[in-house]
Amino acid sequence: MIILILPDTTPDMTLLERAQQGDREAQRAIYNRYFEPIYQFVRLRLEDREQARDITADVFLDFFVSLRRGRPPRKNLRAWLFRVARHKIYDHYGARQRLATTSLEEWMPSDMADNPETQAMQAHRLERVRRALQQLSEDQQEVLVLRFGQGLSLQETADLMDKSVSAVKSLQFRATAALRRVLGEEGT
Amino acid sequence: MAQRDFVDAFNDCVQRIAAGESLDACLRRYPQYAQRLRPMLQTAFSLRLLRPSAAEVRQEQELIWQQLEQRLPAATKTRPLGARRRLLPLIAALIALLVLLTATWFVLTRPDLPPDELPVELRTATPLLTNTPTATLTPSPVPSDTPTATLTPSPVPSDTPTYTVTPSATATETATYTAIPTETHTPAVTPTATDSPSPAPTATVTPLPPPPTATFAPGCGAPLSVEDAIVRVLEIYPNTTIIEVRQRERFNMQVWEVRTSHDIRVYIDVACGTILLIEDHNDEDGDEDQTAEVTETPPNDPPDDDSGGGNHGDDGDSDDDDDDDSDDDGNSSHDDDDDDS
Repeated sequence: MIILILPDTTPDMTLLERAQQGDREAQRAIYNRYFEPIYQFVRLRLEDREQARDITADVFLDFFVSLRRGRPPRKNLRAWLFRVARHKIYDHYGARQRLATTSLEEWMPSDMADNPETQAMQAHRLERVRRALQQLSEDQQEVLVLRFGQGLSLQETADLMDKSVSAVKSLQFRATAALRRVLGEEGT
Repeated sequence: MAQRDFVDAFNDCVQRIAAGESLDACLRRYPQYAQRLRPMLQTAFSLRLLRPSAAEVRQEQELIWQQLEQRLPAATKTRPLGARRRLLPLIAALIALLVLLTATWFVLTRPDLPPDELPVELRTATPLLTNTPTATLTPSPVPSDTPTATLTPSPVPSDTPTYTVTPSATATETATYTAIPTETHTPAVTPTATDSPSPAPTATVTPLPPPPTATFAPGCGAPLSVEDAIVRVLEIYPNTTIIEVRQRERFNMQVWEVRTSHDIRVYIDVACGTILLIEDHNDEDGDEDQTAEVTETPPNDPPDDDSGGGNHGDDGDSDDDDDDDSDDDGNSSHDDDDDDS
């Protein structure tokens, strides 16, 4: 049995307030909490690791500057960070930036054996999924990465993509169906 | 319809699995779609595995944090919100002060302020006599140390000579005119707005500081204006023409020196309107002006005896040299002692 849980972290406003007041530990805690999903999101869209590093650093730099200026994100910190990351990717590489085409080795989790999902997932299948994903439209790629790859909620994804929740629902279904179709074509 | 239900079933399972429900448990809710839903849901959630290795993430996390600390050292030293709130009133006060100073500076340095108040003051004089000279007052923007005014007769019927008084004075100097109360005056000079310059001979009216406000004598109702002085002279010499009127200091007081076309000079006390002295410079021998002492007093108040009495021979003005206006005639070397008495 496979159990998958999509995280839907609510913004820790207390932590945010502490960070705004200069609490270094709170700032670091926020960074540690949101670094991995942001970095993964950026890394998935960019081929180069250093580029992903620069973009991610810029995202958190913007966040700390907003703290310093007294204008931190009020509503949803995670969505705010993803939105900044998305804009920076588009600013630097254009909206047509496709998924990274790095080698599979860079993307294979080192702790696959401990991951229950990977028990049903073969390594070659992961590679196939990646290649199939690259053949989808930009919207389809993005909704799949955000919804299933990074675990954003429907509302967060809708806000980020400037779409309605129902549109995201339809899009994620079509994207999944398209991915399945590409995988089926590759399998034949 | 069936496709719509299938889409709804897919989205519902995505939500449930994301909330912690197992894949199989969700598929049991939709047995009619279970066979189609399973590969789709597995494919969708397999994307979670598309992520960089944990080692890369750890390395980048630490590296980027170090970069952030270097790029924004003050980011971790954000000012507490309370401190900013305490600064708000100070900032607001500074802004208000800046605005106030700017407004004050702007008002004080406005170039479009009226240059002087002289024309306004003189125009407010109430004309009483209809067959008397009419004066048009035109301020001159040319600054001058010695405020002067030009009295220009206009080409009008002879019974009603019209004068154009064109004072040229700085705003500061002409401000002395504003102190002249006009509500009690009944000048015979009728101020009219005349745009056309008069080709007739021009006389010079030379009002001088100090301001007439200082010329109020005890018991005197109001200082004499230039129009009043002209009227008084024309009452005495109705067939003459006023050539020059100027204010000066004589007899230790401010006087109007009115010069006529017959070269007669009449000195009138500015404070009380008393005719102090009449000098006739048409004397044939030329070496001694014919001087008439006038004891006339205005109807409202007696003159100041200290300056009004005695024969005030003022030979210092016999040369008609008005260039020394700035040099007070009362202090000239050949003025008689009466000037200082």
